[in-house]
Amino acid sequence: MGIEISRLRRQFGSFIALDDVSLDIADGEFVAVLGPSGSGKTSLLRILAGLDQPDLGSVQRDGQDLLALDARRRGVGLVFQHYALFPHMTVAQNVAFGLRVRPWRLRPKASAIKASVEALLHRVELDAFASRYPAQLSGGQRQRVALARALAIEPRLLLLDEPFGALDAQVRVNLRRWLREFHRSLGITTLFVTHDQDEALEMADRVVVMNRGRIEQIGTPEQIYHQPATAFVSRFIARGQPLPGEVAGSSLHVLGHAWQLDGFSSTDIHTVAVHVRPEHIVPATRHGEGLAACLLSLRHVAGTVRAGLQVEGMDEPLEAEWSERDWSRHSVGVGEPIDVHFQSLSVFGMDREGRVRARTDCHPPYSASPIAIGPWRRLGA
Amino acid sequence: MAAVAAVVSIGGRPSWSVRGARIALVVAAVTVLAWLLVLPLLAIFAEAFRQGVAFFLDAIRQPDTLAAVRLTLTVAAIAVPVNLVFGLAAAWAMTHFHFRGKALLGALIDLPFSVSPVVAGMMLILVFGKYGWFGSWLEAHGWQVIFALPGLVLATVFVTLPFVARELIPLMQAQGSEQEEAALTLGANGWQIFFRVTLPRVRWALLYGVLLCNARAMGEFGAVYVVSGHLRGLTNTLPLQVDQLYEENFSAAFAVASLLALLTLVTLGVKRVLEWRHGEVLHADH
Amino acid sequence: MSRHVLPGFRLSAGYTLAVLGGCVLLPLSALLWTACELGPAGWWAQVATRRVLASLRLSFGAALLAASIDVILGLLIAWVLVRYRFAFRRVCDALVDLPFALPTAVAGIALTALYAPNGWIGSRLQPLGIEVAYTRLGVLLAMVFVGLPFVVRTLQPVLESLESDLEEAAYTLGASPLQRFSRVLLPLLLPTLLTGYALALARAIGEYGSVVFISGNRLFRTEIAPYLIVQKIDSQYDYRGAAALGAVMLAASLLLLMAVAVLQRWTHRWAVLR
Repeated sequence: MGIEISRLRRQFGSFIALDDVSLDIADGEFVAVLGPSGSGKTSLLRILAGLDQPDLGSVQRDGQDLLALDARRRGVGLVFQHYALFPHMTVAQNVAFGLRVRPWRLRPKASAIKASVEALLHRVELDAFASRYPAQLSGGQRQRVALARALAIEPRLLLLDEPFGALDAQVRVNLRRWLREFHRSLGITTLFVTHDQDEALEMADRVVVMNRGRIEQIGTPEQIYHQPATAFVSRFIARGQPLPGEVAGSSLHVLGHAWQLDGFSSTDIHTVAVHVRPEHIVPATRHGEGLAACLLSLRHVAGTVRAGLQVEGMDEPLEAEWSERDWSRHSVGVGEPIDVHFQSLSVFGMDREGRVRARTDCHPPYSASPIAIGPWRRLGA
Repeated sequence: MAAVAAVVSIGGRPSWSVRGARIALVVAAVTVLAWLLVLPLLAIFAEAFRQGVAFFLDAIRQPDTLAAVRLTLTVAAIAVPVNLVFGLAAAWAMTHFHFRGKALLGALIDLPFSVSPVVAGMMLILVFGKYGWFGSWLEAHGWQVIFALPGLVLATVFVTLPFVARELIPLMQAQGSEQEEAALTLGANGWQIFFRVTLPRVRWALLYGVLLCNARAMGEFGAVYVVSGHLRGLTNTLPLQVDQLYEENFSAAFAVASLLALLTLVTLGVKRVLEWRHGEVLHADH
Repeated sequence: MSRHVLPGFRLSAGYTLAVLGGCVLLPLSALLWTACELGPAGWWAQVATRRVLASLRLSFGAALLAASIDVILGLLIAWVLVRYRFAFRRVCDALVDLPFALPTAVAGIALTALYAPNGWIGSRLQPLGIEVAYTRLGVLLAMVFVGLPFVVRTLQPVLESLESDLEEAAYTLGASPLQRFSRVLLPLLLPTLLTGYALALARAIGEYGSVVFISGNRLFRTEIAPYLIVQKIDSQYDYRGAAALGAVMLAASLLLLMAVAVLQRWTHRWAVLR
């Protein structure tokens, strides 16, 4: 059964933090909530933990109303972004806290508490640090203490707020793998929020992309990456770059080229967004083919080449990304002309409210002939 | 002055004119402090022992004086805990919740600082005095507030009200609610959160506030003066006793005053120790 | 549904309001009630006497002046304590709190003993023709005494947090020491100085214990307003007159503090976003 979140709404003054948010989480699932800051992901987390109440909507766990339970009885473990460890307690005291504050009838014996604290510290590989204070630990260690503390109450749902936000890049990558394994061995339903795409795509079973209080897309990392549902997801996850484009009947016109549009119904469509990803902009094999552009900049980053391109007919430069090996066959210097192809374009059709009504990817071959002047139905304002 | 010769600059080796200016500034500051603060302090003890140690001991062993000591301790023993709990409650409400009228509540907590103690005492008379709002009702029930212990306590609570709250609110504001929230998600109830998470983190600031509150409570003059009626041996606190003796027996007044000055010095000493040992957890801003 | 997630709101807010209500709001409303009962004419008759007006002039005039002196002395002391290292610095630092913690009556008799014609300082000033005790100068001195720690203690943390790189930046841009102080530091410190000024002012206006001994309470000359209130209550049992005067003092000090707060907001405008 798991957790059913339905139609949550939360407003702070005129700011809408959550707008009609619905989400089902299966037992044992590892879900990432991904979005830029201010997208409402932390509001969602605080409502699930019981630290805030929604204006509207419901949260159920196995058919039971979770919102009716106050935070201390909810059995939800929350790892705070900055850990919120109690500075005046040792690591062991921090971890034992949730067990020691239980009503005496439910409280385990001191020896049992000690045993479970030891077991937990062993799990998070901090056996040797039991008597240290939080201030004497590194960031990564503190995070694991916070994790152990949250797990001590045997939560049925584990929430992590930007779990790697406060860590160094190197520690972050290691901890990511460790946490993924840890979840696999534990099997506890886990939800974590992050603003880092790599983190979400690499770790989660499913990713929930949020923007401005709304859920943009829910899907596996593959779905999110390869079939972004909205222009926002395409931009935010796949680095989709907007292109000027017009739809006429079943063809798309971009920078003087017509593309075949399949599976794109243009009824109710008000505006169209056309995106191209950096890796889908490729250098033409022969001069005079494709789109004329100028190479603005070239940077070599970890096996890839990132190029800034000024494509003829566009105001904004585009970024392209190629493998080092592919690029080595070309010999274009910065400032020199280069011809490029688009291998694939993503097209989103939105209605007047900005909701996506139709989306499709289009691929070449496209007609390279100049566009004949015709009665194009111009879409878009 | 030896103190001045030891002036050390913070950064680099300053030029002679800069050094001279620094020395001049330190001399000026030390002179002001010595003239304005040290001299009066010395004067108290000098006057207290002017007629010898025997006279001093005799003066402070007068029954009236001992009664004043007892009364002062009683008043402080009631007023300080009231303000301790008030400070904690006000800080808890002000820092962990959002509610309408929060700014107003904050202003009200600070208000006693800008009300003259004499006016404070007078306001209590207007409420509880013989011709005040509750005067006849209190009299009918045989309760006396003004010119008695309850009035002294009320006046003292009024003037010391902001002390503890002022120390705690900025500190708890800076610490935020995250740790309390963490404790809540771990299943702790309100008292457990308060005693195990909040109190240990603010204990030194609390002690600091209580210390200042106590010093003021024992030394309050204006507000207490108005409501006490100066009945010797009955409603005279130590500062009021000093005032009365001052008219009659100059040196005895200073002998009693030196007790209060000693209390001040002890308070300042403990305060200093607290600041050195726990400075980083006392204040939010530094 | 309650948005208060942490427990204890009702208990803590309830206790806070109960104490505030009983100890502050109730007496305050009694004062306002009594003052209103008098009516404008009755109120004017109580306040517009030569004696009352003289005392109000002295109380507010001396307090405004004393708070200004405190700002200057306090800036000097705070600056020296924060920026320079010298022997007995910590003792000096601890001493600053003395007027704050010393019972006011004790401070009052100590200052009087010092500045009386036969006192340590008074006897040395008399040949010069300067009288402090039992004059307005004495009132001013006592007010400077009680207000000093407020300025120093407000300034210290701010001075400590002011990065010296600001001054160094001004230095590399060619500013002289005086320019660095007046163009960089002073504008930055102004809001804090005003806070300290307001605190010292509030304390000086209401001060009773430290002042009444050294003032001598000479009719029309050195009577401060709080002393008149005590007189009206203690020897004349004139509670209405006391309430009228108390209301004037309260209103005037609140107005003054509000004016300082407005001024402070203006001097602090650079800290406001947008």
